[in-house]
Amino acid sequence: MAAKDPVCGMDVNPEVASAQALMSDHDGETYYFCGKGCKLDFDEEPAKFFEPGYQPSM
Amino acid sequence: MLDAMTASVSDTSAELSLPVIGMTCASCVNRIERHLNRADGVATAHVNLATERATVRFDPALIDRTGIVASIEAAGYEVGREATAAVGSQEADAADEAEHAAERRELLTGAIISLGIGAMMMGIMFAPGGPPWPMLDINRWFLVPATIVQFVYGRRFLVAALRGARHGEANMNTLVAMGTLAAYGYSLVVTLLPDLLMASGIGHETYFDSAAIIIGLILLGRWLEARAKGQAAGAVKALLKLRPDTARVLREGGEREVPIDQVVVGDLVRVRPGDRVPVDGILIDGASAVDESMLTGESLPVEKAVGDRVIGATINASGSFVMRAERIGRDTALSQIVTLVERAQGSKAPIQRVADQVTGWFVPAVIAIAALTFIGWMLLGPEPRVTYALTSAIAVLIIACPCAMGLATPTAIMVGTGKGAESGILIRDGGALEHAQRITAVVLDKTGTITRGEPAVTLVRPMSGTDEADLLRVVAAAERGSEHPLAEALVRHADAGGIPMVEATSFEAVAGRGVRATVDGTTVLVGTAVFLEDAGVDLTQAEAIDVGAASPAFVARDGILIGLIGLADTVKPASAEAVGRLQRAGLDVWMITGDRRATADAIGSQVGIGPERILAEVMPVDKAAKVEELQAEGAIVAMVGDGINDAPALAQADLGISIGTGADVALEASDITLVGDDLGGVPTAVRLSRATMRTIRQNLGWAFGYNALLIPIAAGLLFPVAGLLLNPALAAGAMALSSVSVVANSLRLRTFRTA
Repeated sequence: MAAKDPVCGMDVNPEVASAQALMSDHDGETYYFCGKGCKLDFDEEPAKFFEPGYQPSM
Repeated sequence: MLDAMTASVSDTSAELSLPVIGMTCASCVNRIERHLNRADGVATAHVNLATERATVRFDPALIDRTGIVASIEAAGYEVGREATAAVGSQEADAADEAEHAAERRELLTGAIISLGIGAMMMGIMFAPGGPPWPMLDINRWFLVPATIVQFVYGRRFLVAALRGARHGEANMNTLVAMGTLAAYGYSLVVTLLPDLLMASGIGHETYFDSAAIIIGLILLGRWLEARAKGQAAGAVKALLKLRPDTARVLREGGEREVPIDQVVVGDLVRVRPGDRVPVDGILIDGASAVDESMLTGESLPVEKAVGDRVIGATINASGSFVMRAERIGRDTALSQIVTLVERAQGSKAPIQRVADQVTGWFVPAVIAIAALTFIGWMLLGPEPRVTYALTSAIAVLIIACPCAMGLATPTAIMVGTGKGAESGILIRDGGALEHAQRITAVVLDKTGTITRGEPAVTLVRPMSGTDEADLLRVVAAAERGSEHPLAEALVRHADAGGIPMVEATSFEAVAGRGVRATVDGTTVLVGTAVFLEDAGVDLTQAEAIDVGAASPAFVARDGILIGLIGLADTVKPASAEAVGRLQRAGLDVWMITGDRRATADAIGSQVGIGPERILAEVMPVDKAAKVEELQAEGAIVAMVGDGINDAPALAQADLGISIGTGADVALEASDITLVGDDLGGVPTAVRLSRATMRTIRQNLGWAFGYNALLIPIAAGLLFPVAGLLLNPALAAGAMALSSVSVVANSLRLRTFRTA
C-alpha cells in the first residue's frame, strides 16, 4: 500500500500522491513523492537518489 | 570597506514573512531556501515547515515582494494569501449591528428630546398661579418645537400608520398617529386662527405638550423594547461560521487552497493539525484525533484511522491526514443541522401572533369609540359642542394610547433578563421567559451538562508489585510528550498528586492505540488492551477488574503489566443538587445521551435520575425526535444541553437552555444560556421566569384595566352624572402616570433573589 519517497524517505500513500500527479517513472518503476519539492529534485537528477551513499533528508 | 557594506545592507534591508502552501517534508524546505538564496537581493531566507512560512531578509533596491513570490513559485510552491478575518459575512454582521445600534440611539434621542420639550411646555402651562405669559404668545413659541417633535421624532408613527392605512390595517401606530395628530392639529388651529375659534367659544388652551409627551413616552417604550429584544436570527449565522472558508485540495500539481464551494465529491483534501475539517468524507491516509464536540457534544477527541468517517466543521486535534470528500454543500452534517435549527425556529412565534390579534381588535375599537364620542357630544352635548366633542374624542384617543400596554412587557422583560444576567442566566427574549414558566419536564444532556465533559482519572490499580506512586510516575513520564486529552488527564492527575516528574528519553505515539516511551531505561507502554497484547504483554491479571463506565488504559514496563488506570467523565459538583431542586419544583427530570446504557445509568444514579427517565444510546440527530416524543405525550419540555449537536433538540424543545461551556451556536439556538458551568442556573431560571411573567400579567392587567376604566370617563360617560370630564392634557398626564406605575411595578423585580 505505502510507497517510499526516494528523496526524503517518507512513507507515501500512492493514491494521495497520484491525485496530485506527484509521481515519476524511472527505469520502468513508478516512484511516488510526498510533495512537489521531492518530485522536482528527483526529476532534475534521478540517478543521484539511487547512489549507495545517498541519505534521505528525513 | 567590508564594515561599510554590511552596514549599508542592514540599513537598507527589509524583512518579509510569507505563508507557503504545499510543503510536506524537509526536502521542500531545502528546495525553497535554495531557490530564495539564489535570488539576487535576498540576504537570508528561512523556511519553517511547522509554521509553513518563509521569512526573507532582502535588499528592497534589488528585489521586491513580487520577485520573492516568483522565486518561491519557481521552486514549485505557492504563496498563500494572508489569513484575514472571514470575509463578507463578518462585515455584514458588523453593518447589521451598527444599524441596530443607530436605531436604538435614534429612539433614545427622540424620546429624551420629545419628553424634554413636552415637560417644559407642561411646566410653563401649568405653572403655579397660571401661565406667566398670555396663552396666545405661549402657543406661538411652542409651535416650532411641537412641530419638530410631531414630524421629526414622531415621523415613524405617521409613516407606519399611513402604510397600515393603505392596506386597510390599524395598529398601535395608528392610535399614536391619530391621537397626536388630533392634539397637534387642534392646537395648530387654535394657535394660527385664534379669532375663528374664539367666535365659537373655544379657549386658547393647546395640547402641544400632550402630543410631545405621548410621542416621547412611546419612543421610550420602543427603545426599551429594542434593547430587550434578543438576536433571534443569529443562531444559523453562528453555525455557518463553523464551516471553514477554504480547503487544501490535492490536485494535479500539488496541494492547493481553494474556496470551500469549489470542493467536489471525490476530491482528496489534506487536513492539518488545528484545521477544521472542511466537508464530510472518509480518511484515506494518515491518522489523527478529531475533536467532534461541536457536533456530537462528546468532548473526547475521536481517534481516526484510514477508513474512518470524518465530519465537516470538526477540528483536527493532532495529526495531519488526507480525506476523500463524500458529502459537500447542503449534504454535510453541519448543513443538515442548520436546516433543522431553521425549521424548528421558524415554527414558533406564538406570543407575537396573540399580541397582533389583540392589537388588531383594540385599535379599531378605540377609533370607533372616539368617533362615537365625537358624534355623541355633537348630538347630545351642551354648548360649546365642538369643543366638548373634539376634546373628548382626543382624550379617548390619547388615554387609549397603548403606552402602558407597550411598556408592560418590555420593561418587565428588561428587568427580568437583567436580573438573570447578573446571575449568569442569559434569556434570549420574552418568548423564552413565557415558555420557561410553563415547562413541566426538563431533559438534561449528559456529557458536558451533567458531567464535566472531560476525562479524569477515576481508577488507579497498580499490579506486579508496583505501588501507585511508581505507576503514576512512569505513566506521567511516558504520556508527558503526548497531547492526547486522555494523556493530559493522566499527567494532570499525577501532577495534582505531587508525583515527582521524570523525563522520558524516547517517546513514540501510536495513533489510536497508545504510547511507547523509554523511562528510567525501561520500555514503557501505555495504551489499549490490543496495543499491549500486540506487544506481547500478558493481560490476564487485569481481566477481572471492573472499570465500570471508565475507559481503561493498560500500563506495561519491559513487557510486564504493571497497572491499569481508568479514565472517565465525572459529574459536576452542582448537578445533583440542581436535579433535586428541579424535581422539588414539580418538574419531570430526564437525562439524554449518546452513551452506552451502563455509563448513562451510572451517571444517573449519582445525580438522582432513575433508569426509567434515562434516554441512552440516542444519536445526536435523534435527540430532537426524543424531545418531540415527550411533547407528544403532553409535556412542555425544557432541553438543557451544550454542543451544537443539541441545537436541533434545543430548538425543538419548548425551552432550550444551553450551558456556557458549549459553542456559541448552541447559545444562540437556545432560549436561555447559562454562563456558568453548572446546572444550578436551571432551577433559578425557572423561578425567575415565573416571577417575571407574574409581573407582566400584573402590568397588562393594569394597562388594560386602566383603559377599560378611563376610556368611558374620557368619552364623557360620567359627565351627565358627576360632571366629570378629562381634558386631553389631563388624559396625557394620567396616561404618563399609568406608564410610570407599570415601569415601577417592573422594577420591583429587582428584588428577586437568585440564590
